[in-house]
Amino acid sequence: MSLLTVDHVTRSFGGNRAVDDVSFEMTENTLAVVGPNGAGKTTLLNLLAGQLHPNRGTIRFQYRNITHFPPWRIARMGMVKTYQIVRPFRSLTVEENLVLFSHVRGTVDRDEILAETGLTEWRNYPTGVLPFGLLKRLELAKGLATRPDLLLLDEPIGGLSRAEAQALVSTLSALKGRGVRMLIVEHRLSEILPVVDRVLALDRGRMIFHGSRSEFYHDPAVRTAYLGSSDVGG
Amino acid sequence: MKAPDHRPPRFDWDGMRQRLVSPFYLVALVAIVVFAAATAPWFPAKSLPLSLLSPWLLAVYFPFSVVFASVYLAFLLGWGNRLLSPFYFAALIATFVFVVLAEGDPTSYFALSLVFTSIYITLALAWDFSSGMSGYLNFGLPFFFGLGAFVTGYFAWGGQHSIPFLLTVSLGVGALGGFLFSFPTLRLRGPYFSLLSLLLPLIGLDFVANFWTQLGMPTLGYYDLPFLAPTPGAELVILSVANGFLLTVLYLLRNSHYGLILRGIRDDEDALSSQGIQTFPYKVVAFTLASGIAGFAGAAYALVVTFAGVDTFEFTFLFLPILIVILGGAGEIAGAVLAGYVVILAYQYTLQAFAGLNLIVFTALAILLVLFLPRGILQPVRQFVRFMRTPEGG
Repeated sequence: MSLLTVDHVTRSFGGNRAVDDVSFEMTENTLAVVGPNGAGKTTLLNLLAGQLHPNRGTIRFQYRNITHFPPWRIARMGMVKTYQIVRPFRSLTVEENLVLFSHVRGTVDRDEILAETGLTEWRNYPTGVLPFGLLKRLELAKGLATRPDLLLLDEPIGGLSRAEAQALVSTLSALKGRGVRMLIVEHRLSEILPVVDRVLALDRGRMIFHGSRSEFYHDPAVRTAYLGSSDVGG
Repeated sequence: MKAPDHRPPRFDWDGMRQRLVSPFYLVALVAIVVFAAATAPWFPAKSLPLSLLSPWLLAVYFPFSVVFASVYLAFLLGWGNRLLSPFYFAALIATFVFVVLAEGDPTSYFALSLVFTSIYITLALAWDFSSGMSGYLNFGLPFFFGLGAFVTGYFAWGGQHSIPFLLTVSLGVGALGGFLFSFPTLRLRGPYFSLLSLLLPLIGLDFVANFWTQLGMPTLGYYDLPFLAPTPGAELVILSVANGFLLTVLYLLRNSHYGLILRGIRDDEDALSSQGIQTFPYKVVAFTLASGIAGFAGAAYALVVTFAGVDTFEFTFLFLPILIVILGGAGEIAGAVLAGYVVILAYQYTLQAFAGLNLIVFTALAILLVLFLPRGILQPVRQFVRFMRTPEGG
């Protein structure tokens, strides 16, 4: 069953095609969208979340055409985006950040979300005092608070130390284990790929690969995009 | 990372509610409310045995009991924890301390000053609830203030002299006007909305100055309106009750899920939207409510000065409430009440002490206060409380 279908989607900014004729179906639980800087990963994520609208092409989520839906409507349907640069509600406490979304798609067990993301002890703290690593966790917790059918994670471990990243990857593995479906944009490949089922690679807006993890490492187009030549690497 | 554990112990709300629902408390509450209604300034108290009591006691009892009843009701409904803030109680106490002080001489200049202060506080509460909490700067407040004043004038000249009716109808028309304005314009973001709202008072001024008489209306406004109450002291009682009630309702809303969303809009509206919250209806409700409150304040002002004129659209009714909100801390609600007394009494003192230069002196004072207390007068108190609660500090 296809959860998400992207069909010939193009988005340009002036003369620059940030996303160029991208098509794919997401049938698996976890998909990583990877690519070098400027590949169009975040633009693609914004198109899926309704924060941008494509110039051409259609996006279907659970078989409904959501191409021109506003972000709040897409989120209510169950596709929810978190941000690469954390965007907590700084005048609220950690728990209030989750309470905000408690009515979006039915009630959730906040205690469970706080425990899963390691924020239980910080629940009454204003988010303004939290260090960056915890804010990244809060970003994930906010997404979970909406009871998503598909969580769009924009660089969830970007900017974290190796230890912090490993801890968050463990959390993502646990979420995958309990059936949370995720589309993860990330460029720290070695750390995030063990969590995902399939990989989609972009380069300068175009999709250059969509397949399994093992195929990804041996794909010549991917090697060229990352290393400059398909002859290099091992 | 482990959080230092210095959370306050949880309060037993269920136990508290069960105690409040006991017949003894309920009978006491009904008695208080009935007695309060009988002592209300509009009620013909002379025909009652209550006239045996001192006027001071009657005047003070009315506001106290009305606000006590609304706080009690909030606790009974299980919303008590939303009011459990030292700032809320400080604001409530300040409101009634001033009533008690003014009732010593209900016809004095001090009492009249407090009447105007109360009107500005009502406006500041309206502005704080909509703009302070949501971050959408609404410069159209004087329009709804003037609208309330003119609606009062219109109905008073039409033969309606019931003060509760005039206040209520002005509140309703203000809210309707606020809805009609905010529904199309709140689709705009930040500065674009603010610019449009800025035009509203100018439209009001222009309309009254240029077209009013052509419509067969009295020149520049309605005069000889009925008084809000016989003395400034009695007017202060009414306005303090309104402010105490407003403070309670808005504070409850501030700490509700609705208030959380308004504060979320101020922090990051796009992030809210991307996670499934359609912010538009929340903003429209806030601005409709605020416009209604401004209409009420306009009606009260017209009934205090017995004139609904073109001056009600002036920017003084915007500048001072905004200054109050900045000093009280945006979105704090209780801060608007506490700062209101500081700002307006200071304004009136500079008015007396520096005739002619008062605006310059007052603006300089305002700049100094904003420079040194950019997040309001409650911020140092809040920092002190937080410091005392941390293990290192307390």
